[in-house]
Amino acid sequence: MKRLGVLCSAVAIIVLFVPGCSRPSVPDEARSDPEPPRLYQSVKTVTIPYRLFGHAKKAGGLLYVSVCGNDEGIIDRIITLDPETGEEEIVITSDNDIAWLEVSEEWIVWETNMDMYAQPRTGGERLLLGGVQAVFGPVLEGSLVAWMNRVDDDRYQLTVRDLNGGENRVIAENNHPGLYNNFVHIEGDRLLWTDIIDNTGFYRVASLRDGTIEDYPIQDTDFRFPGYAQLSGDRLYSINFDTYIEWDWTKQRFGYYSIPDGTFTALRDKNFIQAFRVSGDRVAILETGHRLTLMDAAASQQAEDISKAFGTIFDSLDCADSNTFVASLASKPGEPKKATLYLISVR
Amino acid sequence: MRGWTRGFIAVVALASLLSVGLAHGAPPPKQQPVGGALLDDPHLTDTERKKLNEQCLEKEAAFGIERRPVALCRCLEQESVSALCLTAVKRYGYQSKYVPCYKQERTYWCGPAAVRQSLYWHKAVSGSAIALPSQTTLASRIGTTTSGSTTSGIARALNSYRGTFGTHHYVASDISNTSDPLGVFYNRIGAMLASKADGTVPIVLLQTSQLSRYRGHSSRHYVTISGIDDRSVPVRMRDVDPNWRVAYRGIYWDDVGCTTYNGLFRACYQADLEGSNLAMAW
Repeated sequence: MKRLGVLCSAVAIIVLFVPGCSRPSVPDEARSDPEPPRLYQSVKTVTIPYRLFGHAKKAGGLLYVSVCGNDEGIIDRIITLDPETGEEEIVITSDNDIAWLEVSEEWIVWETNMDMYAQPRTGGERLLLGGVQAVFGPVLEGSLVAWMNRVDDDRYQLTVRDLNGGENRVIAENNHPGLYNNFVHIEGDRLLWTDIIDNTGFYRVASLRDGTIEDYPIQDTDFRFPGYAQLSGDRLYSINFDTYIEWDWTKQRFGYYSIPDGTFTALRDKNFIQAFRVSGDRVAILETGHRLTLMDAAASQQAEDISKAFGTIFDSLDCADSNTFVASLASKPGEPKKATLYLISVR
Repeated sequence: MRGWTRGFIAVVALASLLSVGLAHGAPPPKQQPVGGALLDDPHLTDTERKKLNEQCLEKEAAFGIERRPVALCRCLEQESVSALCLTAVKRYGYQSKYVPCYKQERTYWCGPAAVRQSLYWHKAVSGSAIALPSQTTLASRIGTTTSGSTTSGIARALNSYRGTFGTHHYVASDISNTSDPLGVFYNRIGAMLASKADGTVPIVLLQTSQLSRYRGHSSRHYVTISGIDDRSVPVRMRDVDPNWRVAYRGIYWDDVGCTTYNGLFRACYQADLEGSNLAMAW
């Protein structure tokens, strides 16, 4: 029975049987080369009745999305969507603009333009993790949240906290706080961020078990200041810049640093990219023209043009969970408010 | 629907709301919303809007800015096309006006800080020995509240220093109300930065989630545009971000973008669409 209540509304859900699943059979003799294996398992599209939204995350079989539920352009609530039934529910409302959202099976963490909070996903006490714009871009894995914490204007500390009763733990100081250096990434028990020390760009990887830090300087390249770094095994993917004075987004090199080899390999030589996300051995890249490419992070570096497969470019890219990328496309001004989320499962 | 049925539904809805609240803990105490830029401009009456629009048209005419679609944007929906959005039009070349990056002194003072940045250039060019006004003074002149500033207030505050720091004249305008928002955005800024005597250092309102370097982080924010380079693809602009947090603050070069691609134009266009607060002071 359809659930009553003001918090529920219908969302259109379309499961796409991806072209790869239903590729027309081609006689073996007609094939010149075997087709490479697909890099994703399935794609599901979910349409939400909001044009303006922030982040979309998956946990507990639900999709959590920070959305603008008013006419004021403020992202003021976090909703859940059941991808199977379309049922929508408001789980968190905020007086301030919700700038960031992370969700795990255990916790919801969100940053407003003032504070950062955590709340057990299935209910419980809300925790205030930081106030007065003291936090930046949290990441969440299980119950472990990490973020760049502002101590004072020029002092930022990489901070982690086990939300299951733990206290804030400072892992390291950020030597050169700035937009490109302030994003952190967790893979397993490793924490990655970037920094600039003595005019040298560094990847810094901390062990969350024993607190040790390994530094990987970038040398012998024009693009030696990494930012937005993310881990995939022994590869550190990042967008690298040639200067940190008047940072130029359009002058960048996207690629990876190989820890065993100690070298940076550029994956894009000319065009800048808009964004990338890493999920295990898959890398999703939002190209200059907002086309989406999926890449195998393993040695083959096989790439798949998702935009070509689905005939669309995308507005944004994010990781919905450890197995799923989410790319979105919002309706244009003048059209009914909606956004389509493409949930791209890679394993 | 019968009255009792509506009442029953209302009770169910209220119970649903309460259960959500209980299940997820009590909400934190209410706070005064804090932001850098007001969504709507409460002072923008029809008369005021008409007056600002007339000023805008006069200024566009004075600087030869035509409101007709120009072939700036090749929005590339077709899969076969992979070029960039703005073609290199080479209309303004490389233009730069030095302004420093001033940290906004309060979390909602990006407007006053951006005004102070722009005034720095006017003071330098005018040779005035008078000190730049403080952000406190500028916040007062703009009418900044804890919810932020208005673009019309920013233009008014800048113009209040006409005679003190030169002969500049700023107007506050939208871009979404034109037939060619991208061309208007590009030409207004380009013309102002290319003009040495009568030029200004524009201030634009941005929705930061439309700038790739913000990585999806959402906020409404004022920055000063102090440079343009359209000599090659992609056309770039330099924005001086006075953010309260050093994590964001700095001087950046960004792609201009278009309605389809991330960049300064898209961020300004999105902020413009969100409310009645005007998009740029130029």
